[in-house]
This record gives sequence, structure tokens and C-alpha cells, in this order.
Amino acid sequence: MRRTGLLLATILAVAPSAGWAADKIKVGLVTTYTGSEAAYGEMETDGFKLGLQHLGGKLGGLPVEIVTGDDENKTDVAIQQATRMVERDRVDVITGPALTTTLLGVNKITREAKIPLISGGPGPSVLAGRQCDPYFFSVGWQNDALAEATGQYLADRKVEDVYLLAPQIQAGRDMLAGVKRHFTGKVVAEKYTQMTQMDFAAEISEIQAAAPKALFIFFPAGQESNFIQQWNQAGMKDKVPLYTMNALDQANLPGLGDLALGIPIGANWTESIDAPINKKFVDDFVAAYGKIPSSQAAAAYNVALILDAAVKSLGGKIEDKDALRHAIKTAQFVQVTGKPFRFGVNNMPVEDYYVATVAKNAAGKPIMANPVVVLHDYVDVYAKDCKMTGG
Amino acid sequence: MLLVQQLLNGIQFGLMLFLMAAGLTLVFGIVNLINLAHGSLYMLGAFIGVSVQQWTGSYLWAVVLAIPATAIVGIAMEMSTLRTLYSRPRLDQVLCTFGLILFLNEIAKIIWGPASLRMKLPDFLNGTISFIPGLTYPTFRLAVIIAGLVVAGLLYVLITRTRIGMLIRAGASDRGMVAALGVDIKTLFTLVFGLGAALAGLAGIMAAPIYSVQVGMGDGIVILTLVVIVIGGIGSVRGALAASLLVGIVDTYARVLLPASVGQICIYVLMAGLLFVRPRGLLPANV
Repeated sequence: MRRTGLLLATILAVAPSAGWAADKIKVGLVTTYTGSEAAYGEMETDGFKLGLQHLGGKLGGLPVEIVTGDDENKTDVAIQQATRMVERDRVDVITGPALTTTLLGVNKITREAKIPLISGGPGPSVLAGRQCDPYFFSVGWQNDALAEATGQYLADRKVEDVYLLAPQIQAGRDMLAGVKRHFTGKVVAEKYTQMTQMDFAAEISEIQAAAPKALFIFFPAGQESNFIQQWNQAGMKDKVPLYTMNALDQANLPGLGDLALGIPIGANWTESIDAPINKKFVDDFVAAYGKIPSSQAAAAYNVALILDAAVKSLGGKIEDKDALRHAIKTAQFVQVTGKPFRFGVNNMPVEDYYVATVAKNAAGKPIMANPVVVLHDYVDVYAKDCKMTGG
Repeated sequence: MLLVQQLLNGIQFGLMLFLMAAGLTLVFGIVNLINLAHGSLYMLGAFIGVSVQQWTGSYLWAVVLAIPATAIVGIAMEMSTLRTLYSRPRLDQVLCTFGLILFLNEIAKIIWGPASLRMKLPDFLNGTISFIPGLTYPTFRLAVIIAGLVVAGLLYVLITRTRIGMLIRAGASDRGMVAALGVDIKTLFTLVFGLGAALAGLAGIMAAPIYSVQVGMGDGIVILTLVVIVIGGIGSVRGALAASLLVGIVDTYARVLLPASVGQICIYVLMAGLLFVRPRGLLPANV
């Protein structure tokens, strides 16, 4: 008994000293498991776990411990979860927040604690420009760029005018700014709805009266599918063509069935990108979880890949936060779209942005099909304002 | 045309609120209980409806079965918990019914899972209808308006023309006297509570095809419902009808005419303004 105690004390005394490879990496996963956006949490968890499985259950040779926290799609709860993970669980890195609102909440904690936060999707404009954060990374997308792809697509097709609709939140403002950036036609109206609004009858009536040539919408997945359902109930599907970005993907497409067919989507990834790594990812995901992965699942898969590359380059020595941050920034890996991954100066991805169209696959399920690259190796517009200290 | 359409949207939203408000105001006015968990009954109505639809494949069966099922849950809630609260101070009632919200949300999460569910509509309700040339309106929303008006009519008949209605009115005016006259006030309260729960269940099952059915869906609407019954005059079903239509229409127009952040506070400003002029509400119950 005494000997064991002594041994334990020795181990405890030696373990934290620098220079030793850590015995494991603790990954905090803060995401949404409850409410209208619960599909995000499930997709992210599955995407990350599949990535881990493809890497042999380890990240850069280190065993992994995942700590999950449900943010209930509420910023204050997300902050509580992140605080718990930083202070009590002492995680090495946090990933997850699938929505810009919760992500910005978690960023408040990780920025102060100097813990790397790797976004499971969104790249808000506020973290891309002047307030860029050396400890924040997005391996998903930069928000505006998704909508910029759709805006460019509308401009290429010489659509005369467009009506814009999004919720009154940061991501909503990012998306509508994005559409307008490359769109050359007229903007009929730019309307913002209330944040958690579920009924869009009044907005749909307004759009019906305005009779625009195109409608662009952005909502978080649950609200987005509500809107599309009500849009169809109002008989608008054949009257005004609807355009959106990857808020319409496998997180909500299965529930919509045929209602979403033909809608163009701005995206950084789709399940139909023709690359061996993507095919393996999608096929294995379908086999393991019985559903097609969403954009968040793909981004979470990237999170596993980048952590693996970063930890490997450090030889498992992840205790030095600054070194870990640097290793993440310079990690070399091929991302799920099949192209080598690269960050811009602002830690947002420099990647291709596509427009895909919802169509049925061989099994009759709606997917984001026929992706066409609209923006090549695109550097977002905020990168030039980012002066990262200690880059 | 747009004006008419937005008016219909406002009326539809208002009548949905009325179904919630009628039940809450009856319980509040007659039983003298603040039931914050009224929104949970709305949620349960929607969830039970989705389950029935998954089981039978029919929306109409869902409507037919979810309403009595919610009423039964409501009655069970009254008999097991809320009955003990009637003589307790308001704060105890608020705390206990708030606890019920948390409890029922967790129960719903355990039974139906955290993700939102969808309710499918039969084809004859899923399209649009054109009853004035140049105006198309979603058939289902029109059905909600009709159902709301029918329920309002039935409630009117129930309250003004039947014996139970007479007791309800008497109970709202002077509970002590009604009890002294030998009326079984306990059973009356349970009945009123069951009626309120049935109405909340109906609102839930009609909201289900428009909104997604999820845990906590009733938490937001119960706040709006409280606003409605305060504006209408506590305990007054007529007041609840007038106030829900007013709130529905004002909220709809505020959403389209004002910026989102201002639109959101509009009905609260309306409430504050009206209370300033008519502190007892639009159509107070027992004057």
C-alpha cells in the first residue's frame, strides 16, 4: 500500500514537467445537442469520431479523451460549458460550436485562457478581421464566403434582382453582406427576422408582394427547414427561385425530402465532391451512422485531421500552449475535399467555395449535387485587416 | 392584397394565441393559480400528435387523439400537484409550476429525444387556396383560423348557455359563495383545468405542422400568452379573444414594418400602454 502511494506521488510530481510527451490529449467538444439545431451536435460528434477512427483512435500518436458539453444553442450555456472545460476538465483544445452565436461566446473564454479553439464550421467576420485571435482557427469556412459564392453564382447568371432574408444575428449579417459583395444586380430588400423566430408567414407574404427574381435566405438548420416548409405551404416554390448556403445540408435535407430539390447552395464542401478522401469519408459515415454527413460533420472530420497533424509535428509535446497553437497553424494535411489545407493570416481557411444544387442521389435521397467551384483558393475580404500578434 | 394577407397572418397567429390564452385565463381567473407550465401542455400536445401520426400515418387521428390525451395529462397534473397550491402564496405557485416546466421538458427529452421532429400534413391541407381573386393563402393556416373561430364560438356557448358555464362565471366572480352554495368546487376546478389543457393541446397540434416540434417549444409562447391575458383582463375569455387578435395583428405588422430589434418589443410596449389606460385589462371579467 505504502509503496503504491509513494509511486503515485512520484508520478504526480514528475508528470507535469515540460519536455515530456503528454500521456493523452483532452479535446473539449461544445456543441448543440438540444432543440431545433440538435442535428448539428450529432453530425459534429459523428464526424469527429469517424476522423478519430480513421486515424487509429489516436491523434498524433496520443490517446484521446473527449469531453462533451451541450450548449443547448444558447450563448450563455456555451460559455458555462467552455468555462467548465477550461477550469475543471483542463482540456488541451476546444472544438465544436456549430453556430456563430455560441462560437463567439466560447471564444470569449478560450481567447482569455489561451486555449486553441477550432471551429466546427463557422468563421465569423468579427474573428476574421481586426479582432482576429491567434488561438482561434476555422477548418470549416469563413461565413461571408459561403454567401459570396452564391452571390457570384447569381451574378454569373445575370439574375436581375434578389431579396435577402436572414435572422438578426452576426452570422445573418455576415451572409447578407457576403451575397451583396459580388452580386451585380439590384437588391430588392434586405430583411432581418427575430433571432429565434419560427413562423415566417408575414415575411413570406412580403416577399410574395415584392415578387423578386430571386430570394436568398440564411437561417440555422432548424429554422431554415421551417422556412422552406412554410415557403412550400404558401405555394411560393414555383414562383420565386430560392437560393441559400450550406445551412441547407444533410442536417435538415432528410426531413425536407423533395421540398428542397433544385435549390442552389453556396458551400465549402459537399458530399458529392469527387475526391478519394471524400468518398471514403462519406461512404464510411453512411455505413457507421446510417445517414449522409453534413457540412458540420465534414468540418469536424477536418478537426481530427488537423489535430493529428499538429500533435505529430510536436512529437506529442502539447503542454506548451504557444507551441501547440503554432503547430495547428502550420499543420500539413489534406483536407476532406481532397486539397492540401491552408490557413490565411487570420486563421480562416483559404479554400475553394462551391455552388451545389439539391438533387436526388441514386437511392432517391436529396443531396448537394453537382458542385461547381465558384471562388478558387479564396482569401476572405477580412484577412487584410488582421494583424495577428505573435503570429 | 398584401394588407389583407398580413391581416390574415395576424389573425391566424392571434387565434393560435387565443387557444393558449383561453385555457390560461380560465385557470388564472377561476382557480386563481398562475400556471407557468401551460406551455408544457402545448408542447406535449404537439409531441403526442407526432407520435400518433407516426403510429397511424394520419394527421386527423393525431388531432383527435392528442387533445384528450393532453387533457388527461392536465388533469393528472392538477390532481397530483397543483391542487395543493391553491391556498399557497403566488411565489410558491410560480416556483412549483416553473419546476414542472423543467420536469416536463426533461420527460419529453427522454421520451422523444432532443432533436426536433416534423409533423406532416395531408395533401388537402398542404397547398394554397384562393378565395378572393388575386389572393392566395396557405390552406392549413386558413384551417387554423377556422378552428380557432369554431373553438371561440363553442367556448362562448359553453360559458354563456350551459350550467357548467354558469358555474365557471360564478366561480370567477365569487368562489367562496359558489362553494357555500354546495357546488363541488374541487371537481369544477379539475374540469376547468382539463379544458385549459385540451385547448393548449389543440394549439400544440395545430402549431406542429408549421413549427418544428421540439423540447422547450412552449417556453416562449407561454410568455406571449401571459401578455395576452394581462391585456385582455385576467379571467375573461372575451378579453383573451380580443387581446390575442390585437397582439397577433400588432406583432405581425411590427415584424414587417419595423426593424427586427424594435419589432420584438412592440407588444410589450402595447401592454404597458394599455395597462396605463385600462389597468384591469381590455374586457375585465367580473365587473
